[in-house]
Amino acid sequence: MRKIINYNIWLLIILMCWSCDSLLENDLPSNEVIAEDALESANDVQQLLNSTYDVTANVFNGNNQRFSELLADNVTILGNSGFLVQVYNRSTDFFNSDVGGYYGQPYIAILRANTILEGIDDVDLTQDQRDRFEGEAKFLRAINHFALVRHFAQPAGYTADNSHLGIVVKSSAEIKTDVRSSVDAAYDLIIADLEDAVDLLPAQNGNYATTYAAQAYLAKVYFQMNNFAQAAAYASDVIENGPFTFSDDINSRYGTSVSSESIFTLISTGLEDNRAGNFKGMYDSRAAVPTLLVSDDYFSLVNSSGGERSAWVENIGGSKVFTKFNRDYMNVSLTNLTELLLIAAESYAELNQNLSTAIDYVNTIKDRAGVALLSDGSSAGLIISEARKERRIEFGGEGYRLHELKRRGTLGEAVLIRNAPWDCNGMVLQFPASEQAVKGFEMNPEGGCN
Amino acid sequence: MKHKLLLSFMILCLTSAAWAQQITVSGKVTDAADKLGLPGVNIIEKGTTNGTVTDVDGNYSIRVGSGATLLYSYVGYLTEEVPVGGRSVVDIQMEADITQLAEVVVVGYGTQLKREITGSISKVDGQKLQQLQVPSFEAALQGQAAGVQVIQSSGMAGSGSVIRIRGISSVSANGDPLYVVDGIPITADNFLAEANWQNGAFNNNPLAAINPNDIESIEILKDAAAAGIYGSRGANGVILITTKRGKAGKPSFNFSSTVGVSEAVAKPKLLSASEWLELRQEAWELDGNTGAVWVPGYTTAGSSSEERLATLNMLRDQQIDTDWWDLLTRRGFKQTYNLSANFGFKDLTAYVGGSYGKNESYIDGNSFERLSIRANIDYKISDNLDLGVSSSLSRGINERVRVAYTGGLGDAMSVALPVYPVHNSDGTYFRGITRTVANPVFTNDNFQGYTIDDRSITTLSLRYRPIEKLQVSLSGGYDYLDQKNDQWESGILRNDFIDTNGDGEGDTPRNRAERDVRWVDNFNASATAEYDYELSSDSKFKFLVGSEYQQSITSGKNNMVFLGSDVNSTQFKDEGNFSSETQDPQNLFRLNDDKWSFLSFFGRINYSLKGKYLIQGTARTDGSSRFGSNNRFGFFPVLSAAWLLSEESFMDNVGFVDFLKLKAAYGITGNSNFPSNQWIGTYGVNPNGIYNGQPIRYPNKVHNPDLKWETTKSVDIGFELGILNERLDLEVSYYHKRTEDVLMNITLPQYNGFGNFWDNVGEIKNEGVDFTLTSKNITSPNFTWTSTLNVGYNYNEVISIGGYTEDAVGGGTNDTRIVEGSPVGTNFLVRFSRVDPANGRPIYLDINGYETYEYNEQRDRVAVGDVLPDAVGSFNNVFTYKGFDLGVLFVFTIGGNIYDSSSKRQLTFLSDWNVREDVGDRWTQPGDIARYPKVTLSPAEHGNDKEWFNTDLYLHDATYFRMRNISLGYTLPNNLVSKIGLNSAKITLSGTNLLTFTEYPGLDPEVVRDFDNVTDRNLSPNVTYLTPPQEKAYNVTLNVSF
Repeated sequence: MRKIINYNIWLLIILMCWSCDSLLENDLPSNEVIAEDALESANDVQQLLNSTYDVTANVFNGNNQRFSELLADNVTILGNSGFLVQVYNRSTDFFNSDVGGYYGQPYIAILRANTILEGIDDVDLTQDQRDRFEGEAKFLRAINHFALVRHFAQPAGYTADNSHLGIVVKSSAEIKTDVRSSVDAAYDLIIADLEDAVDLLPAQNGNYATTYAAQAYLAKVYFQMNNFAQAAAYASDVIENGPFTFSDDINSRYGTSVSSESIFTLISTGLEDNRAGNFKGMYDSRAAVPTLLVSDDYFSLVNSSGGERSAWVENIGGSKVFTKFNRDYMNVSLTNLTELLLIAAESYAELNQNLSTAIDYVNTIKDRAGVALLSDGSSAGLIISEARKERRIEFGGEGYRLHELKRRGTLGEAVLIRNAPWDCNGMVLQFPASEQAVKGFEMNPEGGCN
Repeated sequence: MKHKLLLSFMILCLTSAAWAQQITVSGKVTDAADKLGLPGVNIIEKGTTNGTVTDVDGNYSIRVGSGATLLYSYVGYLTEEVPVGGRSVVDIQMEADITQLAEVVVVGYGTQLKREITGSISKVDGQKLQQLQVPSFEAALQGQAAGVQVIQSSGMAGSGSVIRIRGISSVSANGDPLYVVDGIPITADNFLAEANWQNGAFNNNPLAAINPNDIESIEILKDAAAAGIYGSRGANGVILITTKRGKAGKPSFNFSSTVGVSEAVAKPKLLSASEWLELRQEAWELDGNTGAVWVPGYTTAGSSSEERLATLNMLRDQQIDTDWWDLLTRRGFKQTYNLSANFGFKDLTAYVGGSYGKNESYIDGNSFERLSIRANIDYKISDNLDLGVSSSLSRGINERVRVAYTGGLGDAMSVALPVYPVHNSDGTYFRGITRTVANPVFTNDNFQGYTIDDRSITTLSLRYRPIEKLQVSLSGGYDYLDQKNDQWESGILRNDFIDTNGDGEGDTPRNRAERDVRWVDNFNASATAEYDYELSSDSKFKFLVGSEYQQSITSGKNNMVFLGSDVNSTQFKDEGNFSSETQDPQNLFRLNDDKWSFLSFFGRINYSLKGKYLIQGTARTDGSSRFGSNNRFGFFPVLSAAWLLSEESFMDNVGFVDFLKLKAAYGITGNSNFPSNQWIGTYGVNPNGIYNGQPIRYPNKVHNPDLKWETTKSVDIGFELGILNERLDLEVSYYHKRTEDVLMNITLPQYNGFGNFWDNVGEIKNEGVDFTLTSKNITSPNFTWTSTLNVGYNYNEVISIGGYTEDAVGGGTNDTRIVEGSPVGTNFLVRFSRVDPANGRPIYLDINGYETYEYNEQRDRVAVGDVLPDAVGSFNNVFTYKGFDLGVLFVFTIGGNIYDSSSKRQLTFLSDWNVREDVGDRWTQPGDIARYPKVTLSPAEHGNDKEWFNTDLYLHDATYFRMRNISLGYTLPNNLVSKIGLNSAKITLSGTNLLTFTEYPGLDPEVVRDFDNVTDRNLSPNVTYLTPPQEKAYNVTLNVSF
């Protein structure tokens, strides 16, 4: 007995030693794989790409649009406390966890896009696959940088050569300490990525990015930079040559199916994925007075000049609210014919070219809404102001207004937004505390708007 | 070995030769105190191996030489030496050895006599724990051991405590001690499953399911010498819990019952409706507005002046003034019943205990109910083989409510305004114009929450003594925890209605019952061998070698949901009554197994020279799945020594010194309590349709193969002194701990696309002195008075955070910071200077100490305080007079700060919160010298557009002195109780937290706010945010044995 037990103990100890490593090797949870084995096939790359879309959809699931609206003049906010009130007061700081939580999201998408771009050379792919992966990754990298640079830096045109501080531009997946580049550097990468994407992407690509989506985004980017020639060229190219058809329904962009006019849509419909619920939730006025209300200014504009679109706002017991977001599910259209028609029209007018086309474009939108059309021979100035008015009405609550006002500011207009100059410090969101975890990162200046 | 056998053989021969003069001696061994028979007493004929033991009644019989001397020995009693002198009957009475030095102390993987211990171990008797009525056993450790800080988290039933042994040396890794029950490191994770609504002010506490009445003793291993045998898991100290075992003797039973009531130690002093409206009007006018102020819930800043005035008049006319605190609190009722039995047969002893208790807190709807049974059985298979089984089964039912920032009592202190009625005139709940204003009564009526912990801890051990002085033990343990988190919300609360009549409008509430469940399987197997080796009678060795393997697997399911109009309670209460079609498969998912394991080899050598020079060496090698591939195994050696100075002949002249021991130790221990698989670079994969119905994969962790334990190098020096016939005992120990490779869950700059990652970057120093003085002031037979003073002083400093800034490590609630040169948990705030008498605006200090109106956290935060106390301790007095005993336990905390985080919204910046009465000390007109600035609705008036002004205005001295417990007991006389067939009976009245002395102006100076994660737990005790205060309780306890 004694011997048996003694032997067993020694055996146990020896066995333990022999199998030390296996005793300590834990299987990874089934939702994880080792990084070095994670990217080996076209399917793996596709899944990584899907996850890049996934995060990009998070970027645009509310905060992006909301921050822009709160900094501009289409909305007001209920109450006098909270992180969103801080945004509305144009005084975000590094502890604003709504802004901080948002800021990281585009960079996660950028990391994934960079991982694809650095990883595809080691994977066996057809040329078509390779082109498509590279094109989509660059497209997504570009639109996420674009989202960041518009919120966290003064706009393009704030300095003549855009040498003012922008954001950290990430063109590699390497983890390292970095500093902010100039706005110019950010736009350089955005434009280069989108131009590559135009060449690489197919014309048809399901719900994913196409060559037209890249062109439409180039139009947006150039328009933001007041480069009207390029903006008009890219916009009209998509309008004329793309497969998109203008919808007669003013609400088609907010549906649960992809609108025929939408050029790039983030999919968020269905019980399994209702992330846009966060977007529309702040406006949804069906159950109670929502957090974000419609400003008096916007309310009267839509009522006086909205035509059919006056149904998009409502006065419920003294509270002015949006109604166009009163839905359970909706996709988020990031760019569409309505936007491109207005970009093209305004750009042509700024260039004082193709004015009749410009008038047609504005009238396409006015006609759908059932409001009085621009007459033939309207002046460039009128086309511009009408295009801007239509843009403000069409995209209320969707985050367009702020960038429009800033763009006009860079054109030299003395834009005041709720009594604050368009370029006061607080009109730019502050970076979160995490960015100064390592010394040397330059934060945005604060205050100056009130 | 051969020599030994030969020697034994020779002795055997000699004793055989002596047969001729042998006689049979019999008798009875009794306890000198209670005169009851003592079973299991060892009786040896001096100078031989001839011996026997007493039976269950204390009787014995032995054949010995007629001139022999008998040695009677029994653990815990003084050894008696009695010459037979030809007698055939020798009855003796044995005296209990009351000197502490003879006390047996549980150490890791064995026991030692207190006098032999070279390290720092505090032993707490189970009895002491059972005297205190606490939500969970670990709370009763408060004040019981020097250098052990225990902060009970709040007045909520079942809530856990934060325990720090000799300071804190962890940031992101868990800073709690290791809990070991009967040899198994048990699951003590406060963050197994936490829904948002649960965090408010307390985390679930898996220790609460352990019945304090089953505990024989708790040993707290405080220093490296003591905890070194636990290697990479010993650096935060180890708490060894030993449960009761059967003792030889007649079957005996014990019954105890406690009933009591509880209430809050304090009620917040908030404004009434009219005072609140007046203050708000004052702010409105000071802000330069005219007319009536707007009132949240009724009007908005944009409402017309007519609307605003009408609202104000309506509120005044109707005189709505709701005291939400009163509506949400009550007098809680507490009850506990314990029944235990002790059986001792020839080869089998058993302890069996059962317990039921229900502990209601003063918060309406909050209680903790515990049912537990335990059986500990020891069986002697043969003379040299013992089998031991310990098994417990318990259920803790925590009925939970929302508190702090999640609502309930937290709302009552903040957003539930006195101007809100509970109900509208039509009987519906008041929810204001937004239909969302806080109504905690509405929420309570439409919400239920439970956490149900089912837990079983079982060990099976075999002890085998193949030869004299060698003992081999094999032990296997299984600790199982099943934790269910249930919540129920009505369709009204969720605003979800079923359309039953087809009119397109929902009409019947669709209620929802959700369950999240976690299973933790924690296996443990160990093998040890102990060998005693005597070089000579003066020179003795004790060897221990062993190995241990532990694996823990946590799995679970989330979102087990029932939805429907017939879902009227939680799944725990009501599942059987739900119709089957109400089960909602949406979002149900099985969690991935989270596994970790440890493989360890350890050893201990004790050497004793002449019984007065003691040396102990321990070493442990730990491998863990948590460690990166470059650091799979860590080695943790500790060397310690003690010198029993009082045994030296030169000390004979120092007559008043009975005992003096010097101790010193140096060694390395570690902390490896951090999440699994953090070192390995991975991709997350999700095969389900995530975006556009397609599967995804993505990089989610940074590869760090160097990731490893935290290393603590400690020096400990101390002495133990007993003087004046041990009337006065003093223990003093000094420690210096330097912790390197401190684990931090670093917040990477987000532009890298990764959130956080784990790295060994920091360095922390802890230095301090523990001091325990026990004085037997009066020891007369009828009256005794014993005082014990414990003090633990600690100095803590973060030496390095590896080049990161103060914002690199954020806790969940993020109230304190890690700042180089300051303690762990530093209050890093903008300094408040004064109120400008001219205009009532607050004046802050900028980074350079200049006054400024601007509140700028980005620029002006500095280290202004810290949440760690300078010293914690207790002062305990026990008086006995005949059958009466009176115990008064005071606990105290000296130094350190409390940050009252909710103040910033309960004072002069007016939002949608109620306001505290001390707002009275504010600026109202030019020339006022006031503590608080003018009231305002516009944060810019206070220096910044954001409304959260975190300044040292709300930082307070945390010093307090509290009468933790007072108890008066009466033990009925023996002759009386024996008449009714009892062995003993005692009745005790006790009170908890009846008196507190503090300068802290908030509700309660003993405070731990809700935690989001372990970093919070390490950094942010002593921060309060609408945290419910502790409870005050009165109890009656009856204790009977028969």
